[in-house]
Amino acid sequence: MAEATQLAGAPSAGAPVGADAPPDSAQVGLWRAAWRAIRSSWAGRLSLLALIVVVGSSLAAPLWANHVAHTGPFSNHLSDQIRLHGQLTDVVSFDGVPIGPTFQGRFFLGADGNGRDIMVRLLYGGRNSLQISLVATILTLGLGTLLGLVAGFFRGWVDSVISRFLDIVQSTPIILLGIALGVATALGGVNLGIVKFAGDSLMIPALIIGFIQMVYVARPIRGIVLGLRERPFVEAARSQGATSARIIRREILPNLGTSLLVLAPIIFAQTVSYEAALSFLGAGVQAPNASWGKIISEGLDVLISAPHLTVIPGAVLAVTVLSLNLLGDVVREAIDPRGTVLAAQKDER
Amino acid sequence: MTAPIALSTSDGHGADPGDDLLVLSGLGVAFGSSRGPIHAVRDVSLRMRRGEVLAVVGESGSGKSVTALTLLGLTRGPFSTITGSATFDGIDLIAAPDKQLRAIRGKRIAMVFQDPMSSLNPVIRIGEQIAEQLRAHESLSKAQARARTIEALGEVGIPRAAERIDSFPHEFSGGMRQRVMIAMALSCGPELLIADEPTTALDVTVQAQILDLILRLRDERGMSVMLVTHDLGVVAETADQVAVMYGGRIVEQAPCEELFADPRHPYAWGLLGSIPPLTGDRPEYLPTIAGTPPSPLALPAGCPFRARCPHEFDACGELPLLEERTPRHLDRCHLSLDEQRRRRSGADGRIGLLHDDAAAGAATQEPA
Amino acid sequence: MIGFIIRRLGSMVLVLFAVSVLIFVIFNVIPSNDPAVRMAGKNPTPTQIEAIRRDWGFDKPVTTQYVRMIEKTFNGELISYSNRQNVTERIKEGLPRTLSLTFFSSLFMLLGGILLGMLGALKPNSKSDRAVNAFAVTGISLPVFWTGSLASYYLGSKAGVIPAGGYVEISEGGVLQWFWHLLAPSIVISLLFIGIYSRVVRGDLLDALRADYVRTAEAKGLSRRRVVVRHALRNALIPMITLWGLDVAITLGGGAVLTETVFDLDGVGAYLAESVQTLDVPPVLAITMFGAIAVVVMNALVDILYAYLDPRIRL
Repeated sequence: MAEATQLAGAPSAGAPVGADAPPDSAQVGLWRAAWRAIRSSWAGRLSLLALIVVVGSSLAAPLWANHVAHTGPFSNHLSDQIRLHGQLTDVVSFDGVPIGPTFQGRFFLGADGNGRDIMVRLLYGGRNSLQISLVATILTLGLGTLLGLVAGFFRGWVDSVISRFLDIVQSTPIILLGIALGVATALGGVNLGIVKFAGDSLMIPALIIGFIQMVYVARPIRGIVLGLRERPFVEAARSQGATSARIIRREILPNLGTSLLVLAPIIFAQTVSYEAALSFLGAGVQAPNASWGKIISEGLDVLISAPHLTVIPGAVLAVTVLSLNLLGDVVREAIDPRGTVLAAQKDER
Repeated sequence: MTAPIALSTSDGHGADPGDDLLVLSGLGVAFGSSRGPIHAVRDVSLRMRRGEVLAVVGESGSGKSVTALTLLGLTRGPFSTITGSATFDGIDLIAAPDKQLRAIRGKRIAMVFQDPMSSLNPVIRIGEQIAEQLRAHESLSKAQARARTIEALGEVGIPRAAERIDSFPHEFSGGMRQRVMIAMALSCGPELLIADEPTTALDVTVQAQILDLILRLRDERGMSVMLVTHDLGVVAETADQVAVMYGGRIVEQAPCEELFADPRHPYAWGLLGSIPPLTGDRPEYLPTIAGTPPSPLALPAGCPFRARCPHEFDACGELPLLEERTPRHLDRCHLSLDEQRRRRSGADGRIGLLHDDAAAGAATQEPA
Repeated sequence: MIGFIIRRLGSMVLVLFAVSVLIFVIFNVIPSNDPAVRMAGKNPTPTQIEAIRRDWGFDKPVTTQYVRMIEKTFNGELISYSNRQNVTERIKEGLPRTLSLTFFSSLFMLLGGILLGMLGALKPNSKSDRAVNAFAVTGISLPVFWTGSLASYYLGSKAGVIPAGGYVEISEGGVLQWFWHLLAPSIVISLLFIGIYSRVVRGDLLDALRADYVRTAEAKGLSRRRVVVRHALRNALIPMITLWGLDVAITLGGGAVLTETVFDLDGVGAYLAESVQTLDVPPVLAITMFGAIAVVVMNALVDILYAYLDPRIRL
């Protein structure tokens, strides 16, 4: 604990300042401190376990689809019958009520109104949700760090331009911003010049969520960089004639480890939530693709006859977000007990 | 831990015990921490008479501020253990229930803190900050409290007090802010003013003004002042009595002139030796006390100053008693009075913490 | 203070302009297909598309397009091409519902956040502190649309403990029914914000309680209650109030889109959700614009309030 405190408070201030002293050791210590904290608290262990289960089962979606359920996420079985307790049963009855959980290979969690296998859709949906969230989180952290770093390090007019831009992005309520971008791009897709994405590409929600959350990373990083650039080890490097690029690479970036490690799980959790919300509304993942939010919204239509279509994906979603947030708390307490990173976010207001 | 001490001070004061405003007896304060208890204050006993200025001197971490805060119950909490007693006009401040203590705080005992910027609430007008104290202790109308506040601000030399009353702390200079703090502390006419490093955060020129202000008000009102400081210059100008603290304990206590003329404890020699002389040749180096104050987590056995004291010998392994060896002058050292006198001044006659070989004529002497 | 207000309002106007440009960029620049086609909704005829193109100036330079968009959004004649409804009228209809929801939810989040934050900060690391923390993480993590729909179905339709959704005007059912129908949705929205605020308040209050000026207040002999409330809490609440002001504006500007949908409140947010389903661009554009305006204006008001609460920043 004492060691962790030291790491968070004074990352490499105590280390030799010479240009040949990469503060790598601090990074290793950071990961180790985070890992130790996760391992030593029941909240950390439990949420890690839950995440492993969720991620593992989502990765195993094709295995389940091909070898257990023998159907794909988009296959309709509207007019099919399956053998249940020795009897042939309609997957979707004449009055449109889908089959409930069978707890056997096919239709383990029942079918939806189109006769699609819920378990298979849930697993594939989870895969989509996690893929989108992972890409979006990396994007958010990357973009946010870049903007925050440039603004905080160079200050002056660069900082003014970036900060005003962030102000403006933040002035639009984040959920409305996501919806607006989702609706605007759902039909025509996005043309970024080098790459084009079709309207139903999974990259579109990833790009949107990555963009709208950027502010939450850029602001704290800017604050931390502003503080770092006044620290003696940066001044020392500057007085030795190091270039800006070198100072950023050798002195600033390594010291952002704590901040990024604190922010990553929280941002990931928020990303999963936003993806679910946008897809639930229809501004995220587009049909026929599935994601947790999409499946819940489809399930709501038949909530009365088949409540499990809503309850189960929602529970998986809730457990995932909760686990990420708990993990974030455990890691933050271990490597940033004084809450410097989140305070930097707040002070920027 | 609680070594017996010679509590013969009342006789030594030669005064009627009814004159004592404050009597500390065996006061100890320990804070719980993850690495074990921190004994910030140990076995502190002293007396303060009405109208007296008592200076409590020591380095940071010596326990002087904690002692002061403890008198007002400001160190109470789930993680602190307070032992001993502190009797103020017949009331034991340590045992008093919170409610009784609140009635005394600000009313009979007031406190001025080190940093007037952070010690005043930044978002409340200074007039309101003073008035709320008045109204907590006296039944005054808002208008009456306001009038008294203006009066209090005027008394500490704030010009145009009636206008400045609605200002916020950040609109004042450091010296003016400390005047506000003093006006606040004195607003209810306390019998005892505790000033914890009141001038440390201020410019040198302002320091003198603030000290003069405190002394003038002491004279006008006849109140007692406990001045917590690390600045011997301040002590020399203001104090009647001085208590020197080291490692959470009092190591020497004497009337002010006597302490400067006849310091008994080697730590006090060190303190005096580190003041540059005002006349004569400036020494090339200003002597310092080698080493650092002991960690309150791991105080050495025996004399707390042992590790830094060049005059340390076998007996120092045992904690010396705080003894009144001449009237009204107490010290906590195993050296005899003669030894002390011999070892504390160098060839030039200046007092300081000198190494044995430098001490005149002390090279071969064994302590009695 | 007056100078501060004028400066702040001036910068507000600039931000409003910038935000409108951002929204223009989102709808007219980023997407790669024909904006007239997108605007037209599902299954348009070529004549319709041509009419929209002329009407919105999509064949004109970008600046003209921007001016047209602003005109159309604010002249009250904006219509949805999917169902021919007047967008401004629909937003006006939904506003009282959204306003009512905002009123109760903002009240709940404020009170809940302060109370739980105080509970945590006044006894740090105690059982109640840990319970508050667990409640906060859960509140932050649960998907609003999921808890909302389950609550509305199981507690509402099935158990009948709460109304199954819908909105009752005061003039129809009286204040009690009005409140009763808004209670569950307000609580569902508040859970998230109570989670966030309680943590902010706890942290800031702990800092304030350790501050020198709180020690001074104690030394003055004030009651514990006065020390905590007037000296510590007052300072600790300033950052939270800023967050709260923005969240109120977001809820008001259609940000309660999920809750309004699952509780069938048919306010501005629900209209937004409905329009998203059909990818009906004009309503989405208008609501995004109004939501952003609400936030920008509230942001300025909060800053002015902030300057009033904390005189140090009135510079």
